[in-house]
Amino acid sequence: MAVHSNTFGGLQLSGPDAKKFRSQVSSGRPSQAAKASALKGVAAATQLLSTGQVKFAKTAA
Amino acid sequence: MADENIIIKTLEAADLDQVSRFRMEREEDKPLEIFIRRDARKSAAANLTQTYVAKVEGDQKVIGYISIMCAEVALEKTYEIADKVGADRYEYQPAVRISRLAMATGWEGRKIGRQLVETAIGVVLVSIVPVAGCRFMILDAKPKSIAFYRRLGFRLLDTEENLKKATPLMFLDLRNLIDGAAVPAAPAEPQA
Repeated sequence: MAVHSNTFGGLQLSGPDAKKFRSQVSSGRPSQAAKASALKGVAAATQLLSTGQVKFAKTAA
Repeated sequence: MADENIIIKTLEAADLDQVSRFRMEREEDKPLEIFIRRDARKSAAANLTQTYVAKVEGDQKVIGYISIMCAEVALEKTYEIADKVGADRYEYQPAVRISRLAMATGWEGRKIGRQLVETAIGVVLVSIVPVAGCRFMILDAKPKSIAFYRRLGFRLLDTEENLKKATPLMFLDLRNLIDGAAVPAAPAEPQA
């Protein structure tokens, strides 16, 4: 069993880790959080790719 | 400061995006500071990573960044895709890794990191998935960042081995995240 990340981005899973990954991927639908991130991200990326930048209102700390 | 907006853009030359004053106080974060100040442009020039930076509009100083790179997930042939019979014959699944995410000291807690991650997800969905295919986004999360990534929809690989790691694996399955119609079509090719 192993979870191994290499220098150039690759990820190697084996044994129970690989099986669990498969199980988590196969089960259920995308979460609302994931869908919301995707929708916001697509809007931002569309603006970024068409104008060279994406603009957000600054949020106070 | 004349303008209070934050912009996110691809890292460009030093006269456009100033990284020399990017500082992170914690010793554990120094590699992130060094990467943006010294290595990010070289890494992009070598086509190894791409870095997106956050700045206050009208100011050249970089206040945060995210770097992404092509990756793969190898699963020892244990992986299946429900709507593609025999997909488990493919040993590797395409992915994009979030290799670094950092905010300069004093800029944490303003949701800029969240906007950087959302933008990176969007870039993958808009410009990589329709052109070359990509199934997952992956990252190795510092423990303090796990809740942050969960709120963005990433899942923690729930195994004993992974949870024991200093930086456990988290992933986002990109399938069915958005309606295909939500991704703008690529511009039409000019007619000869």
